[in-house]
Formats: sequence, C-alpha cells, structure tokens
Amino acid sequence: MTKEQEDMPTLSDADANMLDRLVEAEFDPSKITGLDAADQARLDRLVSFMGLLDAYPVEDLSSEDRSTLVNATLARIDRAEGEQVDRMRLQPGAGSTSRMGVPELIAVAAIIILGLSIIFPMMNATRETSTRSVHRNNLAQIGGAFFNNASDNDGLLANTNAPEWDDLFGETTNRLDLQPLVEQDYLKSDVAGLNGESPWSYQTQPRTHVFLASQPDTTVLMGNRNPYMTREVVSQFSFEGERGNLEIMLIETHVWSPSLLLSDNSIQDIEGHAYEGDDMRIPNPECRHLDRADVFLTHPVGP
Amino acid sequence: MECMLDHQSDEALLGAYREGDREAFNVLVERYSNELVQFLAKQTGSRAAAEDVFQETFLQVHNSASTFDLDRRFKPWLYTIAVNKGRDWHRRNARRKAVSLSMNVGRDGEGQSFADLMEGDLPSPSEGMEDRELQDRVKQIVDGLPAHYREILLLSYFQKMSYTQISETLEIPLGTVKSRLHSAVAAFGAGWTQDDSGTREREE
Repeated sequence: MTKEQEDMPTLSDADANMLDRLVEAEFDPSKITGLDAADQARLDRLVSFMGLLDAYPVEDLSSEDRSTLVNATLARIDRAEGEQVDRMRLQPGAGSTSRMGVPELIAVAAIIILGLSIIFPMMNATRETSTRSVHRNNLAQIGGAFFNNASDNDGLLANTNAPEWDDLFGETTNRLDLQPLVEQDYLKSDVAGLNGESPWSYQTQPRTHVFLASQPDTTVLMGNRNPYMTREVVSQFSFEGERGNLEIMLIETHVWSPSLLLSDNSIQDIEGHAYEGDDMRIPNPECRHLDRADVFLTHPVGP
Repeated sequence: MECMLDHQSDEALLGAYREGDREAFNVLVERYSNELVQFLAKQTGSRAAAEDVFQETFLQVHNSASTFDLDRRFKPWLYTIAVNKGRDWHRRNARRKAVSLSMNVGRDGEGQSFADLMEGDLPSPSEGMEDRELQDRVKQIVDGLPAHYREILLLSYFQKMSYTQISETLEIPLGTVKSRLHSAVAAFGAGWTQDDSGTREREE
C-alpha cells in the first residue's frame, strides 16, 4: 500500500457498497429496491448526506449570460486562429501548409544544381577510371595472345596484309587480326570484343616489316585512342616524303593514357602521355619514338 | 438552419464542424454553456474562472476537432478536456488549503476510516442552519477538497456520470474511480464533521 493510499480517508465497506449502487442508479434512490430495513436506513442516510452537496451555490446562466459566453468563446477561437496565421507568416515553414516562395525555390534549385555539378564529374571520373582499367586488362590479354600465338609460329606475329590502308600510309600495311587468335583459343571472344556491338579495334602497326615476337625489346603500346586511325589525328598528318618520317601535329588535347604491355606480360602506365601541341612521331625503322612501341592496340573510345 | 442543428447529436455537430460548418460549432458551444460552466464553477470555485476555463476548453476542442474519433462519444471527451483545463487553472493560481486527510474521523481504533453513516453523527442540512450559511459551508468544504477528489465528486454527483464514464473522462482505471470516489465522499464527510465540531465549539 502506498503512502497516499494509507492517508486516504475511507468509507466502511457497507457505506462504500451502498454508494456504488447509488452511483449506478444516478443518485436516484427509487431505482434501488429490495433492501432490508437496515440497508434502507443506510441508503436514506447516504442520500441525505450526499444531498448536502446540493447546497453548493450554483447560479444558472441567464440567457444573456449564455449568449455573451458563447460569443466570447467564438471570438477567442477566432483570435487564436488569427494569431496562429500571423505566426506562420513570421515563420515560413513552421506550418505544414506553408508554401515556398520563388526565392526559396531558386535557392533550392541552385543547391541541387551545385550538388549535381559536383557529383556528376565525380561519377564520370569513377566510371572512366573503371572503364579504362577494364580496357587495359583486355588489351593486355590481346597482346599476350599475340605473343603466345607468335611463339607457337616461329616468332611471327599473326600479321595480315591490309591493303585498304596502303593509300593512307603510303606503304604496304599489315594489321594484326584477332579472329584467328580467337578461333585457335589464344583469346576469348568476349575479351576480343567480338561478341559485342562495338568490337575492339585491335590494330595496328602501319609498317611493312614483320614483327618478331622473339625480339627482346618488342613492345606493345596500348591506349584508348589509336593515333593513326583517329580521323582528327589523320587530318593533321603532314608528310615530308612518301616513305620518309611522318609527323603528326596534335592540336587538340587527346585524353590518351596509354599503357605498355611488357614482354613479361606486366603492364606499365605511361604517365603524362597525353599530348597538347607536342610533336608525336610515328615510329619507323630509323626513328622509334613512343617508348619503342612495336604494336599498337586500341579500343573504341568510351565504355 | 440552426433549429435543424439543435436536434443533431454532439458527434454529428462536431463532424459537421470538421467539414467547415461553423454554425454547428456554435450550437455545440451553446449546448454545453450552462452545464459546463456550472461544473467548472464548482471545480474552480469561481464563476469567473469557470467562464475562462470554459473558453479554453472549447478552444482546445476546436484545435483538436480533427483528431477526435467520431465513433466515440463527445461528452466524455469534452469533460476530459474541461477537467484538464481546470487543473491547469488550479496550477496557475494559488493552491487551496486542503482538508487534512490524516484526521481521525471514525470510531476509536479504526484509524482513518470515515464514520459509518449508520452510526455517524452527521447533522441534517436543516438543523438550525440558514440556507446561506449552509451554502457557504458546503462550498468551503468542497472547494477545500484535493482537486482529484473534487473532480470525481462533481462528475459523479452533479453530472450523474457512471463509473465507466468517469473512468473514460478522467482516463483512470475503473477500480481507481471507485476507491477515489469512496475517499472523496469520506473526505467530504470528514470536512463536514470537522467543521461542524468547530461550529459547535464556537457556539458553546
């Protein structure tokens, strides 16, 4: 029992039971019947006692008082509503029904655009890095397949004559074909890009001599853009002579981050190998630039 | 229009008000103006305070109308709000001197048990007491009761609410309602007895 319960005044059980019955009878003793003399006396006594409460001074509201009270109540509600509207005006956004003005919408739009301008380049950079990594590994497998095939064929790379390019390069042009390597299980077709809608470009070395894979310094240059096959680059070609050195002036910036496939099948990235306004010389027997690359492997630009 | 509204139930009026019928709310306020003010006048002990609390009560009804479950009865909800607003009023104002609950008003050896009414020495209201004097005395005792006793006594005796309705209004268990009303009646009896003794001593 709590302290409060201990301090509570109580009725006797008999009085309490009679009070319960009286409450349920809405204090109308005539609704309580069948009592013996003692209980009837208790009931009468209880009714008389509770009747003392009727002496509590109560003043009925006159018609005029009621009307005044109702009007005052309704006016108070209107006043409270008005104050609430004022508060919402002072605190835009405090209420669920508040609307944003044009300046707020412009500010929100600006924040969203700013966020997107930060996020999109990051996403693009991430995607580009991922794509480049996949392409580089594919090119490495292609290069490895060439050399494996060459080592099984007296060191000769699987060159195929490509006369359609002779006019461009002014010499007999060979190319490296992937199809025979795939057919002979040196290379998976999906890596060669033969299954997709945009197959790899797997060219090229536009020179007439035959590469020997057994050469210790044979190097495969892998990049995401073929400096020979790209139209804008070709348009910049300047020929000094039909069979002389070729110079390519790269006016535009090319995002070209080539890698080298080394003879031990490892890959080495060539840092800073994107050119802007630099001369890039095509390798030939007399002049070998580009880290002595012998084979160029490229893939289509983009994912 | 107003005549038609007069015959609608409390719940229907509140529902109509939620749909935008302000006249329905006016009828509701008018309907309870006399009854609720009288109840609040006893709860607060002041007619002026009662009218103020009445307005606060219906302001709360207005604010919470959208949350009321129209399947429930309006009156217990109204009285719940009124009782709470009355309590707020008491908290804002000076506390009233409560009747001591530790007084021994029963027979010897029965601790704090109120006298059995069969054997009690309660005077009849008409025993040598002027109406005005009786009114003042009852008012003094009722106003001096602890708030939770006064509330339950008013709801039970004056509003004729059943135990179940009181339980719903005060949001307390049914058993608590019974025991609290028993105590409230006992406290009222104790106050009456104490006051009566004092009066007699003064007269002697």
